[in-house]
Amino acid sequence: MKAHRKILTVGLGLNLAWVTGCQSDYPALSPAHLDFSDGRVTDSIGSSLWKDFRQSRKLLEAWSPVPDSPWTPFAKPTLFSALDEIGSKVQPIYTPAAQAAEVQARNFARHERVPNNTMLIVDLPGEETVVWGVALARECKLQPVATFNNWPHQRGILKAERVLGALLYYAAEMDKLKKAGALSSAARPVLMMDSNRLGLAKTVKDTDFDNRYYLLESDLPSSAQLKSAGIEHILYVGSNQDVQEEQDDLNPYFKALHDSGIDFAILSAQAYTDKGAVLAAKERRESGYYHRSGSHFPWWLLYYAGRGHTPIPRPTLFSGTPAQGASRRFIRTSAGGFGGYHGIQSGSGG
Amino acid sequence: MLLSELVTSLSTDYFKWDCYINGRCCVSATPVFLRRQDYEELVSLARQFDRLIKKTIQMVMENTALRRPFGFSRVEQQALDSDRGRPSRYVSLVARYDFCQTYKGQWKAAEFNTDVPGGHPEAVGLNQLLGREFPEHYNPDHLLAALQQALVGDSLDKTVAVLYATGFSEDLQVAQLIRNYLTKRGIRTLLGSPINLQRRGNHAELFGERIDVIYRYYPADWLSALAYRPRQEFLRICSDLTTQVNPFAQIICQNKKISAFWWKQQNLFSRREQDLIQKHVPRTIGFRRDRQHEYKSRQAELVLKRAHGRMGEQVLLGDCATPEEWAQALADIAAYEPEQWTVQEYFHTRPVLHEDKKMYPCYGVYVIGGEVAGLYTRLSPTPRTAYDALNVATLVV
Repeated sequence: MKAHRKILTVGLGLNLAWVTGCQSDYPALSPAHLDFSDGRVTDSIGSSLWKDFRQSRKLLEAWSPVPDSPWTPFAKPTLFSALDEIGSKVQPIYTPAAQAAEVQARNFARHERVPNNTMLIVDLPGEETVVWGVALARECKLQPVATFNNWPHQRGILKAERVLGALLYYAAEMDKLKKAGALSSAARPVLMMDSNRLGLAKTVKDTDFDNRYYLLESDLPSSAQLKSAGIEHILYVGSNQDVQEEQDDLNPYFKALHDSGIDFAILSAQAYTDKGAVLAAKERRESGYYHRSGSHFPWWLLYYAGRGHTPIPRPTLFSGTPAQGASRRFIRTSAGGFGGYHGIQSGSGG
Repeated sequence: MLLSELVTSLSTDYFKWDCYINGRCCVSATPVFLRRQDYEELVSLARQFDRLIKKTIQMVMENTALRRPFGFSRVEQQALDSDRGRPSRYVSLVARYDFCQTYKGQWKAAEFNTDVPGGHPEAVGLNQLLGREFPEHYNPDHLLAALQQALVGDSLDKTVAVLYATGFSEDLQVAQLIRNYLTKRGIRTLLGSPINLQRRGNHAELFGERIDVIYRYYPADWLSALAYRPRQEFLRICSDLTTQVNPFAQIICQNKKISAFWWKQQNLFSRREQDLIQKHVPRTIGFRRDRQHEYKSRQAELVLKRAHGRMGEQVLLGDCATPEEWAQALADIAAYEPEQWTVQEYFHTRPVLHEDKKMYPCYGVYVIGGEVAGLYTRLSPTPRTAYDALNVATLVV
């Protein structure tokens, strides 16, 4: 077995070794075992141009903010870098859930107005958040900013490859939008977050690869950075009808922004499933009853499903200090994925 | 090279994904040029400290009474015990020693990163990408080649497991850089967390594959965060079945109390070693509650360091703190964990001009298997080097 492996790996590199025949020897670690179900032959513009984006650098370029965009520092290249490891096994993914998200995102983007002083944070399951990012770029000329910050693994808690597949599905379209000049460096951002990142619904076993992650304040734009770009409001898009608050990792960030004068509203993506309801609400708003202006009129009432939100400090998975044991709830259930929680920057190296 | 191109190349080719922190770019397209004389001095010092550290570790491992002043946790003690007498304690070790230069030109050792030294993507990526633009200057980087030697020697048959906290992309950067390098050279390399490691008869496996060598990029002081059973299993596997780089014994010198230990126990060392300590290690003592008043009055001359601090975390420079901050820190330490802190004499680092800005450099010298393997240089706007320092390539002129 050793000799066989050596012949395959020497001089060929990891991708080829994985692709060409180690599967029987090493079933646990193979791109072939990543989940690319619902893979498509064509991409979002009905072409096979997605094949041109099967390199990390190409895909990253398609999705990176345009040159001189103030949002470049917040776009995470992490997941994109996994593409060179996966190689030819990668597929563009478009699922029924993404199809539904496409309808919701389109209804939102076409019938709601996003003013210049508003930033969107879309915190939906990864593939759906990508759909929203593209729809908002296409319809509203917003700049999608990817925050996906870990890699896929065959034993992964997160199926990060699904997000990668969705990014690939829309890569040619994003590239075209950028090349056509549809997105300017002044475009407002839409932060794309994978709502599964904390993997709260999962029970982690020793045989799982814990590729969950959390976002820190240092990963996201500060209030000063937002204000210098004219952003005063944040619209947080969650998945469920009953989304009440931001995810645990975002709580300190939201609280800090709120304390410095940034307003928040929450809305549910699902609320935008029915175009008729959205249009009817829009008509009601515009026909008078809700059509008001003035400093006392809440900005979020302009949105069909918007609700005001005041982030307050609350006990989260990350509350307290490791010394107090408070953050252990997350760490203890993490299959070694998180050694200790750091509020500014994570990581272990000295 | 344009900064934007540098950032893209670092992220796609060297797995450096956190070029921005707090929205600010933390890499520079302008290298730092180190005089050959300074470089040679650093190389010599790093080798000397490497020998001193090996000797210290051996001493402390063999005489458990010497462990007391370090205040190791129960889990750390267990890890050290699991390391006693095993052959891998003497394998090639991977360390990075951080030095700063004073106004008088003397080098001072700021930190000894002997457990899980980081900075690989920055040290390798920046030097390779920017070194090409200055072929006339010496590029000291051969970190990954040296690491390969330390892990598997000339063998292509060994399987390496890089164990790290898999939820942190900052650590995946390092793990993936190493895996990518080794795999391209025909060495099977797997990634996982310590918990993923399993015993199968008389060998260890990671996700069902037999492994021969562990590269532990998981700090020993984080072991206490693991659940009891998997932690015990991990310690047993490291103790009985595999070679581990670095062995747990390395935490002895990772502990910030090592400087206090050297100053206090100079009689255990040769005249030459004492000279090295006195000249290059800032005078350090363990924090004492009864000397708070003195610490308060000498604020500008002192630095407080926590035994397990990393990347400038839990380090307070009196010179950079307000009197209120300093007093509060002293009071908190005295009240809650005096045994975890050291008090070190402050030295003034000589700044350099970098892109027209006054910056304080910290030169990290990698030593692998006793030999210097590269440099990781960070520039900070203040004398304290922390996570948000500017990472720069280092070339020798």
